[in-house]
Amino acid sequence: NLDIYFTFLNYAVFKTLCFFYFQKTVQHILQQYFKDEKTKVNADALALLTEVISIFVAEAVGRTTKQAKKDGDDELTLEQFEKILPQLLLDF
Amino acid sequence: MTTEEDFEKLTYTQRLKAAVHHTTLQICKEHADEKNVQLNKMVVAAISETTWKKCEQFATDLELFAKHAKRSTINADDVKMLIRKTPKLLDYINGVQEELNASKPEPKKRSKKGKGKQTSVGASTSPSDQTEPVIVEEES
Repeated sequence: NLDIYFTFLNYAVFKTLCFFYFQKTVQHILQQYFKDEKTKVNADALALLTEVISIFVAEAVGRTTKQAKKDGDDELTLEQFEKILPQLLLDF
Repeated sequence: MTTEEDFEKLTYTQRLKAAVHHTTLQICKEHADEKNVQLNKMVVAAISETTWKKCEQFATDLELFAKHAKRSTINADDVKMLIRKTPKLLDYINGVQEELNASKPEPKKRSKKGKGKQTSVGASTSPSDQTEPVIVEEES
C-alpha cells in the first residue's frame, strides 16, 4: 500500500515539476513577442496561461482522435488534424 | 555584429520551439495512450507549430489588454479575457484559480478593521470570480 502511495506521490511531484518548467518556457516565449520591454507577467497569470495552453494541446489531440475514430482509423493523420483545426482556433 | 545577434536570437527561438515540441509530445503521448491510438510525428509537429503561433497571438493580446487597463504587468483577469469565447473553459480556469488561491496563505487583514468586518469578508468570498486580495481591499 505504501509503495502505491509513494509512486503516486512521485508522479504528482514529477507532474508539478514538469508544469513548473513549462511555465518558465511559456514566460520566455511571451517575452519574445512583447512589443514593450516593460511588460511582465503575474505569477498567477502565468500559471493560468500555462494551464490554458496545456488544455489547447489536449483539445487538439482529443479532437483529432475523435475524428480518427469517426473515420475508423487507428493512427492520427494530418488530414484529421486539418479537419478539426478551424473549430479549434475559433474556440481559443 | 547584428548578424551574430540575429543568429543568437534565431537559435534561442529554435530552443524555445524545441521545448514546446517536447512538452507537446509529452501531452500527446499521454492522451494517445489513454485512447489507444497511434501518434504520428507529423501531427505532433503540426500541433506544436500551431501552439507556438497561438502563444504569439496570446502574447500580443495579453499585452494589449494590460496596456488598455493602464498596467504593465499582465494579470489573471487578462488571461480570463483571453478565453472568453468558451464559457466552459472560463469556468474551469476560474476553478483552477480558486484552487491556487486556496493553497496560498491568506493575506493579513489590516489592524483598523473590527471583528464585525471579518464576518462580512467570509460571506463575500463565495462569488467565484474575484481573487482574495481584491475582496480584502473592497472591505476597507
